[in-house]
Amino acid sequence: MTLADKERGPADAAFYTDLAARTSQLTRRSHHVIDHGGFGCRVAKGQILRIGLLERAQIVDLCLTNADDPTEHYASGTQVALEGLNITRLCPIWGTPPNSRRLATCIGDTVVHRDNPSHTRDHGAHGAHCNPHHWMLYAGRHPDTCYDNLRAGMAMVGLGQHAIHDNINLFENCVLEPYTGHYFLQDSDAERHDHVDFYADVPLLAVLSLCPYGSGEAMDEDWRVTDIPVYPILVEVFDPSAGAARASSRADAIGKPSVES
Amino acid sequence: MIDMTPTRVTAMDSHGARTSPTTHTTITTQHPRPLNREFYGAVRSRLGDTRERRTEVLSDFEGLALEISAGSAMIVRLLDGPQVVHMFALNNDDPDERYWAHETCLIEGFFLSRYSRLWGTMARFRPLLTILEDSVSTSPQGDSIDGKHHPAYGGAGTPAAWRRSGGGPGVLSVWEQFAQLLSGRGISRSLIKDEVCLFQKTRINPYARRLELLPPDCVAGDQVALYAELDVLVLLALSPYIDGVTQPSGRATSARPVSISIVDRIADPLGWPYPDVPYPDISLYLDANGSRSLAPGVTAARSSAR
Repeated sequence: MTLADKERGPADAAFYTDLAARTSQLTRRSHHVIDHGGFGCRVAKGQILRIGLLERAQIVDLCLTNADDPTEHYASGTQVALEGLNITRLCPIWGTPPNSRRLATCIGDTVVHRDNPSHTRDHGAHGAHCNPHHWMLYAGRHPDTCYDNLRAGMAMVGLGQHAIHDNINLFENCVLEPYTGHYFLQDSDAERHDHVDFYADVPLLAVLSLCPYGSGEAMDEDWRVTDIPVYPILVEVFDPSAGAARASSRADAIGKPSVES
Repeated sequence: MIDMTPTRVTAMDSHGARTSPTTHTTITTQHPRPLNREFYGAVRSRLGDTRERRTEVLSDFEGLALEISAGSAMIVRLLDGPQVVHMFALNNDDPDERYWAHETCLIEGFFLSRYSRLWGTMARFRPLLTILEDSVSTSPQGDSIDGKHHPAYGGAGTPAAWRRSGGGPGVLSVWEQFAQLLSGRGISRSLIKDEVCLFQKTRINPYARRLELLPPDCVAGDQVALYAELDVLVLLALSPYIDGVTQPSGRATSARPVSISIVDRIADPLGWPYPDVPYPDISLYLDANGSRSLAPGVTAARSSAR
């Protein structure tokens, strides 16, 4: 059962909440440890994508695309207009026009968000992705930026760089400053083993980048002189339609995983 | 003189007071891209003396597409009070290069005003347009957080949002207006991304972490002038929400008219990047025709990578 075509309402919340409570007990279809670069995989309609931290906070840029029509994808501006500046639990993930429909639903978020004077919060719904221009300006070098990583991840699902779109920034603790409108971020509230779960309301291609910002602690002005560590993440796909938990399979992952645990 | 000083964003508490940098780390992602204020100041001062070559009045929900040559300017002027004007821009020779709202927000801030640049997408990632003039004056909101005008993006111009708010089928949403304009030129509507919302007043509510639309402070005669950094195709669409906060009532909706004037070429653009501004090797992303390559693949190894 999926709820993609239904209106939002109390029944939706019950459905997603129930699913979220059972996710860890569901059959795990695939799992990949990603310790650098980009990654892409297919998530069938009704499956759950979990992105978890293995060591500590790591910013993850996430693109979500309709697997059947890549011109329909996550719509950052619509998301901000409808749901606010951050992705939170039970938050619908909206797609581009003309359908403008729910592509996915965030059903789980274990990060304990701490109130702070700047009102930042993890999981920015906006902000796009770092790219070689940004790094050349600040660091004078061109590492594997999120644009490059997303390009590689798109290639893993058979798509080119045109499919890269303005993405979700998981584990990025950010805000638009209300007086100036300037964007800033600070240390993530996330810790080891925190994870975020997305229920696929339509068949999805999930493409992600381990941002070379790492945890977001290094200041831009220090990029030139600082080696910024990137921390590994675990990407899992769970399948509520399958029976009891079985050994994991990566049969539905497209392309080469970095490492499999 | 070129201002090379990077602007540092400082965290503020809910009353606008700066918080101690020792209490938490603040990191700005605002890019230190220089702006030649002397050049743009001179261009702005010449704006009033330059002949308006063509003027159109937009007063319906059909949208308007205009080609603007590099070095020319476009003036969007309110004729009859507040009317939100959505604007999207594309490179006229390569529409894959188009306005990138979210990166513009990172560089210029969410609220655009005089000398804000509207940046284009990868791989060139350069200014498409620069705002020369913005006559809108914002009225203070007392003790509450002020809203400002001209957000870098809005996100509410979709057909679904229009229907959800009770809008009738006889009025085209902003996205539909843009799609119609592009299809008339044989350009895919999938190129539409988030657009600038001229004359829209928006407040960032830091507590709810939401954007809130407010009645705008602009009046008839207010205008925004934009300078074309390259040959651009500009799409303009009047919001069916009129001033941004008028909800559809089921009755016929009438837009407030807006004039759009194109002025003669004012000055040759400076181009981007400025000399000495580090710029990546964009051939890593382009095909033999100079457009972004279509084929799936990874970015080739480069000497500056580590």
